[in-house]
Amino acid sequence: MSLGRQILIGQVLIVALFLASWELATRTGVIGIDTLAPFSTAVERLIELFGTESFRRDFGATASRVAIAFAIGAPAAVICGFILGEWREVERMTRPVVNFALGIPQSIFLPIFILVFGIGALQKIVFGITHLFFVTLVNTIGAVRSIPSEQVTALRSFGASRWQIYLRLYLPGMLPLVLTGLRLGMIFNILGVLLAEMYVAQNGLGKAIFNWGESGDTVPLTAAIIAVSVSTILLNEIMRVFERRAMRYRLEVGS
Amino acid sequence: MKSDVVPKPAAVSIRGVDKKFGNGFHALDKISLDIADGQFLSVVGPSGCGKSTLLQIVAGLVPASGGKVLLDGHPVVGPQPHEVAVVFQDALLLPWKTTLQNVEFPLDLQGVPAAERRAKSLEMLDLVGLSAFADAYPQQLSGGMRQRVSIARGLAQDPRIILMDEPFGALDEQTRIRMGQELLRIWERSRKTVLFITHSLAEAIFLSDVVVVMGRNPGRILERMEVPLPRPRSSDVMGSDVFGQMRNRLWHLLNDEIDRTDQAAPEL
Repeated sequence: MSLGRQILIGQVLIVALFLASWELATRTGVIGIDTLAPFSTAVERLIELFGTESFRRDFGATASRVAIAFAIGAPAAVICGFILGEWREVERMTRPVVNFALGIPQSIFLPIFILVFGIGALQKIVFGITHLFFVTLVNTIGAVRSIPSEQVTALRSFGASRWQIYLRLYLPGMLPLVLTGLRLGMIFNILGVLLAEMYVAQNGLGKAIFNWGESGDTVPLTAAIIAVSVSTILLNEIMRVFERRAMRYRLEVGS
Repeated sequence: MKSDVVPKPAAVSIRGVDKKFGNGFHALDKISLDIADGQFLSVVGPSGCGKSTLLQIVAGLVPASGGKVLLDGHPVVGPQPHEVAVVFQDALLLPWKTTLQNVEFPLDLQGVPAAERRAKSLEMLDLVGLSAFADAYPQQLSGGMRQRVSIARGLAQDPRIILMDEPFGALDEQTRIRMGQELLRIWERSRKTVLFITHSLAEAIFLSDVVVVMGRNPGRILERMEVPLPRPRSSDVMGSDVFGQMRNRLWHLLNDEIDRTDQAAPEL
Protein backbone atom coordinates (compact mmCIF):
# COMPACT_ATOMS: atom_id res chain seq x y z
CA MET A 1 0.00 0.00 0.00
CA SER A 2 1.34 3.41 -0.95
CA LEU A 3 2.06 6.04 1.67
CA GLY A 4 -0.53 8.35 0.11
CA ARG A 5 -3.20 5.69 0.53
CA GLN A 6 -2.21 5.00 4.14
CA ILE A 7 -2.47 8.70 4.93
CA LEU A 8 -5.92 8.86 3.28
CA ILE A 9 -7.16 5.92 5.33
CA GLY A 10 -5.75 7.56 8.44
CA GLN A 11 -7.60 10.77 7.65
CA VAL A 12 -10.90 8.97 7.12
CA LEU A 13 -10.43 7.04 10.38
CA ILE A 14 -9.81 10.22 12.38
CA VAL A 15 -12.97 11.87 11.00
CA ALA A 16 -14.95 8.68 11.70
CA LEU A 17 -13.54 8.55 15.23
CA PHE A 18 -14.51 12.19 15.82
CA LEU A 19 -18.10 11.62 14.64
CA ALA A 20 -18.39 8.40 16.61
CA SER A 21 -17.20 9.98 19.85
CA TRP A 22 -19.57 12.90 19.26
CA GLU A 23 -22.41 10.43 18.83
CA LEU A 24 -21.37 8.43 21.88
CA ALA A 25 -20.82 11.45 24.13
CA THR A 26 -24.23 12.92 23.33
CA ARG A 27 -26.05 9.56 23.51
CA THR A 28 -24.59 8.62 26.90
CA GLY A 29 -25.18 12.09 28.31
CA VAL A 30 -21.53 13.01 28.79
CA ILE A 31 -22.49 16.03 26.70
CA GLY A 32 -26.05 17.04 27.55
CA ILE A 33 -28.73 17.39 24.92
CA ASP A 34 -29.13 21.01 26.13
CA THR A 35 -25.62 21.70 24.72
CA LEU A 36 -25.31 19.61 21.57
CA ALA A 37 -27.53 17.16 19.69
CA PRO A 38 -26.21 13.74 18.61
CA PHE A 39 -24.75 13.74 15.12
CA SER A 40 -27.29 11.28 13.69
CA THR A 41 -30.29 13.17 15.16
CA ALA A 42 -28.94 16.44 13.78
CA VAL A 43 -28.42 14.98 10.32
CA GLU A 44 -31.95 13.58 10.33
CA ARG A 45 -33.30 16.98 11.34
CA LEU A 46 -31.21 18.67 8.69
CA ILE A 47 -32.83 16.56 5.99
CA GLU A 48 -36.24 17.52 7.39
CA LEU A 49 -35.24 21.17 7.56
CA PHE A 50 -34.33 21.22 3.89
CA GLY A 51 -37.92 20.12 3.29
CA THR A 52 -39.23 23.28 4.96
CA GLU A 53 -39.78 26.50 3.10
CA SER A 54 -38.38 28.74 5.84
CA PHE A 55 -35.05 26.92 6.21
CA ARG A 56 -34.54 26.86 2.45
CA ARG A 57 -35.23 30.61 2.40
CA ASP A 58 -32.71 31.23 5.18
CA PHE A 59 -30.11 29.08 3.48
CA GLY A 60 -30.74 30.77 0.13
CA ALA A 61 -30.60 34.25 1.67
CA THR A 62 -27.21 33.60 3.25
CA ALA A 63 -25.82 31.86 0.16
CA SER A 64 -26.87 34.71 -2.13
CA ARG A 65 -25.40 37.34 0.23
CA VAL A 66 -22.11 35.43 0.32
CA ALA A 67 -22.16 35.06 -3.47
CA ILE A 68 -22.94 38.73 -4.14
CA ALA A 69 -20.31 39.91 -1.64
CA PHE A 70 -17.74 37.66 -3.32
CA ALA A 71 -18.75 38.71 -6.84
CA ILE A 72 -18.22 42.38 -5.93
CA GLY A 73 -15.45 42.17 -3.36
CA ALA A 74 -13.15 39.59 -4.94
CA PRO A 75 -12.57 41.34 -8.32
CA ALA A 76 -12.28 44.69 -6.51
CA ALA A 77 -9.64 43.30 -4.15
CA VAL A 78 -7.68 41.62 -6.97
CA ILE A 79 -7.72 44.78 -9.12
CA CYS A 80 -6.71 47.01 -6.19
CA GLY A 81 -4.03 44.49 -5.18
CA PHE A 82 -2.63 44.47 -8.70
CA ILE A 83 -2.50 48.29 -8.81
CA LEU A 84 -0.87 48.51 -5.38
CA GLY A 85 1.58 45.74 -6.29
CA GLU A 86 2.61 47.46 -9.50
CA TRP A 87 2.82 51.01 -8.11
CA ARG A 88 5.02 50.61 -5.09
CA GLU A 89 4.79 54.25 -3.99
CA VAL A 90 1.00 54.04 -3.74
CA GLU A 91 1.30 50.74 -1.89
CA ARG A 92 3.69 52.28 0.65
CA MET A 93 1.33 55.23 1.15
CA THR A 94 -1.66 52.97 1.77
CA ARG A 95 0.25 50.34 3.76
CA PRO A 96 -0.70 51.66 7.25
CA VAL A 97 -4.40 51.69 6.35
CA VAL A 98 -4.25 48.14 4.99
CA ASN A 99 -2.31 46.89 8.00
CA PHE A 100 -4.72 48.52 10.46
CA ALA A 101 -7.70 47.15 8.56
CA LEU A 102 -6.20 43.67 8.76
CA GLY A 103 -5.21 44.01 12.40
CA ILE A 104 -8.41 45.41 13.93
CA PRO A 105 -11.20 42.88 14.59
CA GLN A 106 -13.81 44.15 12.16
CA SER A 107 -16.75 42.96 14.24
CA ILE A 108 -16.38 46.05 16.45
CA PHE A 109 -17.57 48.14 13.49
CA LEU A 110 -20.78 46.15 13.10
CA PRO A 111 -22.99 48.65 15.00
CA ILE A 112 -21.72 51.44 12.77
CA PHE A 113 -22.41 49.35 9.65
CA ILE A 114 -25.98 48.93 10.89
CA LEU A 115 -26.32 52.68 11.42
CA VAL A 116 -25.06 53.34 7.89
CA PHE A 117 -26.51 50.43 5.90
CA GLY A 118 -29.54 49.40 7.97
CA ILE A 119 -30.34 45.81 8.94
CA GLY A 120 -31.23 44.43 5.50
CA ALA A 121 -29.30 42.38 2.97
CA LEU A 122 -27.13 45.33 1.92
CA GLN A 123 -25.50 45.57 5.33
CA LYS A 124 -24.72 41.82 5.33
CA ILE A 125 -23.19 42.06 1.87
CA VAL A 126 -21.08 45.10 2.74
CA PHE A 127 -19.88 43.38 5.90
CA GLY A 128 -18.94 40.31 3.83
CA ILE A 129 -17.06 42.49 1.34
CA THR A 130 -15.04 44.32 3.99
CA HIS A 131 -14.13 40.99 5.55
CA LEU A 132 -12.86 39.43 2.35
CA PHE A 133 -11.33 42.55 0.79
CA PHE A 134 -8.16 43.04 2.79
CA VAL A 135 -6.99 39.44 3.00
CA THR A 136 -7.46 39.00 -0.77
CA LEU A 137 -5.80 42.37 -1.36
CA VAL A 138 -2.69 41.49 0.63
CA ASN A 139 -2.36 38.13 -1.14
CA THR A 140 -2.67 39.79 -4.54
CA ILE A 141 -0.01 42.37 -3.65
CA GLY A 142 2.22 39.45 -2.65
CA ALA A 143 1.43 37.73 -5.95
CA VAL A 144 2.58 40.79 -7.94
CA ARG A 145 5.72 40.97 -5.81
CA SER A 146 6.50 37.32 -6.54
CA ILE A 147 7.17 38.19 -10.20
CA PRO A 148 10.95 38.78 -10.46
CA SER A 149 11.88 42.04 -12.19
CA GLU A 150 14.68 40.20 -14.05
CA GLN A 151 11.99 38.02 -15.59
CA VAL A 152 10.21 41.15 -16.84
CA THR A 153 13.50 42.37 -18.34
CA ALA A 154 13.93 39.02 -20.07
CA LEU A 155 10.46 39.24 -21.62
CA ARG A 156 11.20 42.76 -22.81
CA SER A 157 14.31 41.42 -24.52
CA PHE A 158 12.08 38.87 -26.30
CA GLY A 159 10.11 41.81 -27.68
CA ALA A 160 7.08 41.34 -25.40
CA SER A 161 4.59 44.21 -25.27
CA ARG A 162 3.30 45.52 -21.95
CA TRP A 163 0.10 43.51 -22.46
CA GLN A 164 2.04 40.35 -23.22
CA ILE A 165 4.06 40.86 -20.05
CA TYR A 166 0.84 41.10 -18.02
CA LEU A 167 -0.96 38.23 -19.75
CA ARG A 168 1.91 35.81 -20.30
CA LEU A 169 4.02 36.47 -17.21
CA TYR A 170 1.97 38.21 -14.50
CA LEU A 171 -1.25 36.27 -14.96
CA PRO A 172 0.15 32.72 -14.76
CA GLY A 173 2.82 33.77 -12.24
CA MET A 174 0.32 35.41 -9.90
CA LEU A 175 -2.41 32.80 -10.21
CA PRO A 176 -1.51 30.41 -7.35
CA LEU A 177 -1.19 33.18 -4.75
CA VAL A 178 -4.28 35.03 -6.01
CA LEU A 179 -6.32 31.83 -5.77
CA THR A 180 -5.10 31.35 -2.20
CA GLY A 181 -6.15 34.93 -1.49
CA LEU A 182 -9.60 34.29 -2.97
CA ARG A 183 -10.05 31.12 -0.97
CA LEU A 184 -9.08 32.83 2.30
CA GLY A 185 -11.26 35.78 1.27
CA MET A 186 -14.23 33.43 0.85
CA ILE A 187 -13.75 32.05 4.37
CA PHE A 188 -13.69 35.58 5.80
CA ASN A 189 -16.65 36.56 3.62
CA ILE A 190 -18.82 33.76 5.05
CA LEU A 191 -17.68 34.70 8.54
CA GLY A 192 -18.67 38.34 7.95
CA VAL A 193 -22.11 37.57 6.53
CA LEU A 194 -23.00 35.04 9.27
CA LEU A 195 -21.76 37.37 11.98
CA ALA A 196 -23.90 40.21 10.65
CA GLU A 197 -26.91 37.90 10.43
CA MET A 198 -26.43 36.66 13.99
CA TYR A 199 -26.23 40.21 15.31
CA VAL A 200 -29.44 41.48 13.77
CA ALA A 201 -31.34 40.28 10.70
CA GLN A 202 -34.77 39.44 9.31
CA ASN A 203 -33.64 36.13 7.84
CA GLY A 204 -30.58 34.06 7.00
CA LEU A 205 -28.77 31.07 8.50
CA GLY A 206 -26.94 33.26 11.00
CA LYS A 207 -30.21 34.52 12.39
CA ALA A 208 -31.70 30.98 12.50
CA ILE A 209 -28.65 29.65 14.34
CA PHE A 210 -28.76 32.51 16.82
CA ASN A 211 -32.49 32.06 17.49
CA TRP A 212 -32.19 28.31 18.05
CA GLY A 213 -29.29 28.98 20.37
CA GLU A 214 -31.30 31.54 22.32
CA SER A 215 -34.16 29.12 22.81
CA GLY A 216 -31.87 26.19 23.60
CA ASP A 217 -33.26 24.21 20.67
CA THR A 218 -30.07 22.22 20.12
CA VAL A 219 -31.29 19.73 17.50
CA PRO A 220 -32.00 22.27 14.70
CA LEU A 221 -29.08 24.36 16.01
CA THR A 222 -26.68 21.46 15.53
CA ALA A 223 -28.31 20.66 12.16
CA ALA A 224 -27.73 24.22 10.95
CA ILE A 225 -24.14 24.21 12.20
CA ILE A 226 -23.54 21.02 10.20
CA ALA A 227 -25.13 22.64 7.14
CA VAL A 228 -22.83 25.68 7.37
CA SER A 229 -19.75 23.59 8.11
CA VAL A 230 -20.29 21.16 5.25
CA SER A 231 -21.05 23.95 2.74
CA THR A 232 -17.94 25.88 3.79
CA ILE A 233 -15.71 22.83 3.66
CA LEU A 234 -17.04 21.92 0.20
CA LEU A 235 -16.53 25.45 -1.12
CA ASN A 236 -13.04 25.55 0.35
CA GLU A 237 -12.08 22.21 -1.19
CA ILE A 238 -13.44 23.17 -4.62
CA MET A 239 -11.35 26.34 -4.58
CA ARG A 240 -8.34 24.35 -3.43
CA VAL A 241 -8.66 22.13 -6.51
CA PHE A 242 -8.21 25.20 -8.74
CA GLU A 243 -5.30 26.34 -6.61
CA ARG A 244 -3.57 22.99 -6.94
CA ARG A 245 -4.21 22.91 -10.66
CA ALA A 246 -2.59 26.34 -11.02
CA MET A 247 0.56 25.12 -9.35
CA ARG A 248 0.65 21.66 -10.79
CA TYR A 249 4.02 22.42 -12.37
CA ARG A 250 5.48 22.83 -8.91
CA LEU A 251 4.01 19.59 -7.63
CA GLU A 252 5.36 17.57 -10.51
CA VAL A 253 8.89 18.42 -9.50
CA GLY A 254 8.94 16.14 -6.52
CA SER A 255 7.76 13.14 -8.50
CA MET B 1 30.11 30.85 -44.54
CA LYS B 2 29.79 34.56 -44.92
CA SER B 3 31.82 36.40 -47.53
CA ASP B 4 33.69 39.40 -46.23
CA VAL B 5 34.50 40.99 -49.57
CA VAL B 6 32.37 44.10 -49.10
CA PRO B 7 33.41 46.13 -46.04
CA LYS B 8 30.44 46.25 -43.71
CA PRO B 9 29.74 48.47 -40.73
CA ALA B 10 30.58 46.81 -37.40
CA ALA B 11 27.86 44.46 -36.19
CA VAL B 12 27.82 46.40 -32.94
CA SER B 13 29.20 49.91 -32.69
CA ILE B 14 29.16 51.54 -29.28
CA ARG B 15 29.88 55.26 -29.66
CA GLY B 16 30.58 57.48 -26.70
CA VAL B 17 28.01 55.77 -24.51
CA ASP B 18 27.60 57.48 -21.16
CA LYS B 19 25.41 56.40 -18.27
CA LYS B 20 24.63 58.35 -15.13
CA PHE B 21 22.01 57.00 -12.74
CA GLY B 22 19.44 59.08 -10.90
CA ASN B 23 21.48 58.89 -7.69
CA GLY B 24 24.44 60.50 -9.45
CA PHE B 25 26.44 57.28 -9.88
CA HIS B 26 28.53 57.54 -13.03
CA ALA B 27 28.28 53.99 -14.37
CA LEU B 28 29.80 54.45 -17.83
CA ASP B 29 32.08 57.22 -19.09
CA LYS B 30 31.95 57.67 -22.87
CA ILE B 31 32.52 54.07 -23.87
CA SER B 32 33.42 53.43 -27.50
CA LEU B 33 33.79 49.90 -28.80
CA ASP B 34 33.25 48.08 -32.09
CA ILE B 35 32.41 44.40 -32.45
CA ALA B 36 32.95 42.99 -35.94
CA ASP B 37 30.41 40.69 -37.56
CA GLY B 38 30.87 37.14 -36.30
CA GLN B 39 33.32 38.19 -33.60
CA PHE B 40 33.33 36.84 -30.06
CA LEU B 41 34.16 39.69 -27.71
CA SER B 42 34.36 39.42 -23.93
CA VAL B 43 34.28 42.20 -21.39
CA VAL B 44 35.97 41.62 -18.03
CA GLY B 45 36.14 44.04 -15.16
CA PRO B 46 35.69 44.40 -11.40
CA SER B 47 32.22 44.61 -9.83
CA GLY B 48 30.66 48.00 -10.38
CA CYS B 49 32.51 48.77 -13.63
CA GLY B 50 29.21 48.98 -15.48
CA LYS B 51 29.76 46.00 -17.79
CA SER B 52 26.24 44.67 -17.24
CA THR B 53 24.80 48.15 -17.73
CA LEU B 54 26.70 48.41 -21.01
CA LEU B 55 25.17 45.11 -22.15
CA GLN B 56 21.68 46.29 -21.20
CA ILE B 57 22.18 49.49 -23.18
CA VAL B 58 23.31 47.49 -26.24
CA ALA B 59 20.23 45.27 -25.77
CA GLY B 60 18.00 48.35 -25.77
CA LEU B 61 16.72 47.46 -22.28
CA VAL B 62 18.17 50.54 -20.59
CA PRO B 63 18.56 53.97 -22.22
CA ALA B 64 22.01 55.58 -22.35
CA SER B 65 22.47 59.06 -20.87
CA GLY B 66 24.61 60.03 -23.83
CA GLY B 67 26.14 58.58 -26.98
CA LYS B 68 24.59 55.86 -29.09
CA VAL B 69 24.74 52.20 -30.07
CA LEU B 70 24.53 51.18 -33.74
CA LEU B 71 23.67 47.67 -34.93
CA ASP B 72 24.79 47.37 -38.55
CA GLY B 73 24.63 51.14 -38.72
CA HIS B 74 21.11 51.44 -37.26
CA PRO B 75 20.68 53.10 -33.87
CA VAL B 76 19.28 51.04 -30.99
CA VAL B 77 16.11 52.58 -29.53
CA GLY B 78 14.62 49.54 -27.78
CA PRO B 79 14.74 45.75 -27.61
CA GLN B 80 15.20 44.17 -31.05
CA PRO B 81 14.39 40.48 -30.62
CA HIS B 82 14.99 39.69 -34.29
CA GLU B 83 18.51 41.13 -34.18
CA VAL B 84 19.61 40.61 -30.60
CA ALA B 85 19.10 37.81 -28.07
CA VAL B 86 20.09 38.23 -24.44
CA VAL B 87 21.21 35.37 -22.18
CA PHE B 88 21.05 36.41 -18.53
CA GLN B 89 23.03 35.24 -15.51
CA ASP B 90 20.00 33.39 -14.19
CA ALA B 91 18.42 31.27 -16.89
CA LEU B 92 15.08 33.01 -16.17
CA LEU B 93 12.95 30.17 -17.50
CA LEU B 94 9.23 30.28 -16.76
CA PRO B 95 8.58 27.56 -14.16
CA TRP B 96 5.13 26.69 -15.54
CA LYS B 97 6.44 26.03 -19.04
CA THR B 98 8.30 22.95 -20.19
CA THR B 99 11.81 23.15 -21.63
CA LEU B 100 10.45 23.17 -25.18
CA GLN B 101 7.78 25.76 -24.38
CA ASN B 102 10.42 27.97 -22.80
CA VAL B 103 12.61 27.80 -25.89
CA GLU B 104 9.59 28.57 -28.05
CA PHE B 105 8.42 31.45 -25.88
CA PRO B 106 10.14 34.43 -27.60
CA LEU B 107 8.95 33.17 -31.00
CA ASP B 108 5.49 32.62 -29.56
CA LEU B 109 5.43 36.25 -28.36
CA GLN B 110 6.47 37.39 -31.81
CA GLY B 111 3.58 35.47 -33.39
CA VAL B 112 5.65 32.83 -35.21
CA PRO B 113 3.31 29.95 -36.27
CA ALA B 114 3.32 26.98 -33.90
CA ALA B 115 4.76 24.39 -36.29
CA GLU B 116 7.61 26.65 -37.35
CA ARG B 117 8.61 27.69 -33.85
CA ARG B 118 8.39 24.11 -32.63
CA ALA B 119 10.70 22.84 -35.36
CA LYS B 120 13.18 25.65 -34.73
CA SER B 121 13.12 25.10 -30.97
CA LEU B 122 13.60 21.34 -31.23
CA GLU B 123 16.58 21.96 -33.50
CA MET B 124 18.15 24.28 -30.92
CA LEU B 125 17.43 21.91 -28.04
CA ASP B 126 19.22 19.27 -30.06
CA LEU B 127 22.15 21.62 -30.59
CA VAL B 128 22.56 22.14 -26.84
CA GLY B 129 22.06 18.42 -26.27
CA LEU B 130 18.78 18.56 -24.35
CA SER B 131 16.32 16.94 -26.77
CA ALA B 132 15.54 14.29 -24.21
CA PHE B 133 14.38 16.95 -21.74
CA ALA B 134 11.95 18.78 -24.06
CA ASP B 135 8.97 17.97 -21.82
CA ALA B 136 10.72 18.44 -18.48
CA TYR B 137 10.01 21.45 -16.27
CA PRO B 138 12.85 23.83 -15.34
CA GLN B 139 12.82 22.69 -11.71
CA GLN B 140 13.68 19.20 -12.86
CA LEU B 141 16.87 20.41 -14.57
CA SER B 142 20.28 21.20 -13.08
CA GLY B 143 21.63 24.77 -13.14
CA GLY B 144 23.88 24.01 -16.10
CA MET B 145 21.05 22.41 -18.05
CA ARG B 146 18.80 25.38 -17.38
CA GLN B 147 21.44 27.74 -18.71
CA ARG B 148 21.76 25.57 -21.84
CA VAL B 149 17.98 25.88 -22.31
CA SER B 150 18.36 29.63 -21.97
CA ILE B 151 21.08 29.59 -24.67
CA ALA B 152 18.87 27.46 -26.92
CA ARG B 153 16.09 29.99 -26.38
CA GLY B 154 18.41 32.80 -27.45
CA LEU B 155 19.56 30.87 -30.53
CA ALA B 156 15.96 30.02 -31.50
CA GLN B 157 15.30 33.74 -31.89
CA ASP B 158 17.84 33.42 -34.71
CA PRO B 159 19.51 36.74 -33.89
CA ARG B 160 22.72 37.91 -35.49
CA ILE B 161 23.96 39.17 -32.15
CA ILE B 162 23.94 37.39 -28.81
CA LEU B 163 24.56 39.29 -25.59
CA MET B 164 25.53 37.14 -22.62
CA ASP B 165 25.55 38.65 -19.15
CA GLU B 166 27.74 36.39 -16.98
CA PRO B 167 25.75 33.38 -18.17
CA PHE B 168 27.86 30.88 -16.23
CA GLY B 169 28.42 33.06 -13.18
CA ALA B 170 26.04 31.10 -10.98
CA LEU B 171 27.51 27.70 -11.88
CA ASP B 172 30.24 25.74 -10.11
CA GLU B 173 33.75 25.76 -11.60
CA GLN B 174 33.54 22.31 -13.20
CA THR B 175 30.18 22.96 -14.88
CA ARG B 176 31.39 26.40 -15.88
CA ILE B 177 34.37 25.09 -17.84
CA ARG B 178 32.24 22.46 -19.54
CA MET B 179 29.65 25.07 -20.43
CA GLY B 180 32.40 27.21 -21.96
CA GLN B 181 33.49 24.31 -24.17
CA GLU B 182 29.89 23.66 -25.08
CA LEU B 183 29.34 27.32 -25.97
CA LEU B 184 32.43 27.35 -28.19
CA ARG B 185 31.21 24.25 -30.02
CA ILE B 186 27.82 25.86 -30.64
CA TRP B 187 29.33 29.21 -31.58
CA GLU B 188 31.73 27.66 -34.07
CA ARG B 189 28.71 26.24 -35.89
CA SER B 190 26.60 29.40 -35.87
CA ARG B 191 29.25 32.17 -35.89
CA LYS B 192 26.98 34.74 -34.32
CA THR B 193 28.38 38.02 -33.10
CA VAL B 194 28.77 37.65 -29.33
CA LEU B 195 29.22 40.17 -26.53
CA PHE B 196 30.10 38.16 -23.45
CA ILE B 197 30.33 39.59 -19.94
CA THR B 198 32.29 37.62 -17.37
CA HIS B 199 34.28 37.76 -14.16
CA SER B 200 36.49 34.89 -15.22
CA LEU B 201 39.69 35.80 -17.06
CA ALA B 202 40.30 32.22 -18.21
CA GLU B 203 36.78 32.00 -19.57
CA ALA B 204 37.20 35.30 -21.45
CA ILE B 205 40.51 34.28 -23.08
CA PHE B 206 39.38 30.76 -23.89
CA LEU B 207 36.19 31.87 -25.63
CA SER B 208 37.03 35.17 -27.27
CA ASP B 209 38.60 36.80 -30.29
CA VAL B 210 38.92 40.01 -28.34
CA VAL B 211 38.98 40.69 -24.59
CA VAL B 212 38.13 44.17 -23.33
CA VAL B 213 39.13 45.16 -19.81
CA MET B 214 37.00 47.71 -18.01
CA GLY B 215 37.79 49.84 -14.97
CA ARG B 216 35.37 51.45 -12.55
CA ASN B 217 34.49 54.81 -10.99
CA PRO B 218 33.54 55.72 -13.63
CA GLY B 219 33.21 52.65 -15.86
CA ARG B 220 35.57 52.91 -18.83
CA ILE B 221 37.70 50.77 -21.13
CA LEU B 222 41.24 50.18 -19.90
CA GLU B 223 42.46 47.94 -22.68
CA ARG B 224 41.41 45.95 -25.71
CA MET B 225 43.41 42.77 -26.40
CA GLU B 226 43.24 40.44 -29.37
CA VAL B 227 43.48 36.75 -28.45
CA PRO B 228 46.05 35.15 -30.80
CA LEU B 229 44.93 31.57 -30.19
CA PRO B 230 43.92 29.56 -33.27
CA ARG B 231 40.45 28.07 -33.64
CA PRO B 232 38.92 25.61 -33.16
CA ARG B 233 40.16 25.60 -29.57
CA SER B 234 40.13 22.77 -27.11
CA SER B 235 40.61 23.15 -23.38
CA ASP B 236 44.29 22.23 -23.96
CA VAL B 237 44.99 25.84 -25.00
CA MET B 238 44.52 26.82 -21.36
CA GLY B 239 47.92 25.25 -20.67
CA SER B 240 49.72 27.12 -23.44
CA ASP B 241 52.27 29.93 -22.89
CA VAL B 242 50.22 32.46 -24.86
CA PHE B 243 47.23 31.74 -22.65
CA GLY B 244 49.26 32.08 -19.47
CA GLN B 245 50.85 35.35 -20.55
CA MET B 246 47.49 36.88 -21.50
CA ARG B 247 45.97 35.80 -18.27
CA ASN B 248 48.86 37.31 -16.29
CA ARG B 249 48.55 40.58 -18.15
CA LEU B 250 44.79 40.77 -17.58
CA TRP B 251 45.24 39.84 -13.95
CA HIS B 252 47.74 42.66 -13.35
CA LEU B 253 45.55 45.19 -15.16
CA LEU B 254 42.53 44.29 -13.03
CA ASN B 255 44.54 44.08 -9.83
CA ASP B 256 45.97 47.57 -10.32
CA GLU B 257 42.48 48.88 -11.06
CA ILE B 258 41.04 47.30 -7.93
CA ASP B 259 43.94 48.66 -5.81
CA ARG B 260 43.40 52.13 -7.25
CA THR B 261 39.64 52.19 -6.79
CA ASP B 262 39.54 50.46 -3.40
CA GLN B 263 41.04 53.57 -1.87
CA ALA B 264 38.53 55.78 -3.68
CA ALA B 265 35.50 53.59 -3.13
CA PRO B 266 35.92 51.39 -0.06
CA GLU B 267 32.26 50.32 -0.18
CA LEU B 268 32.90 48.29 -3.30
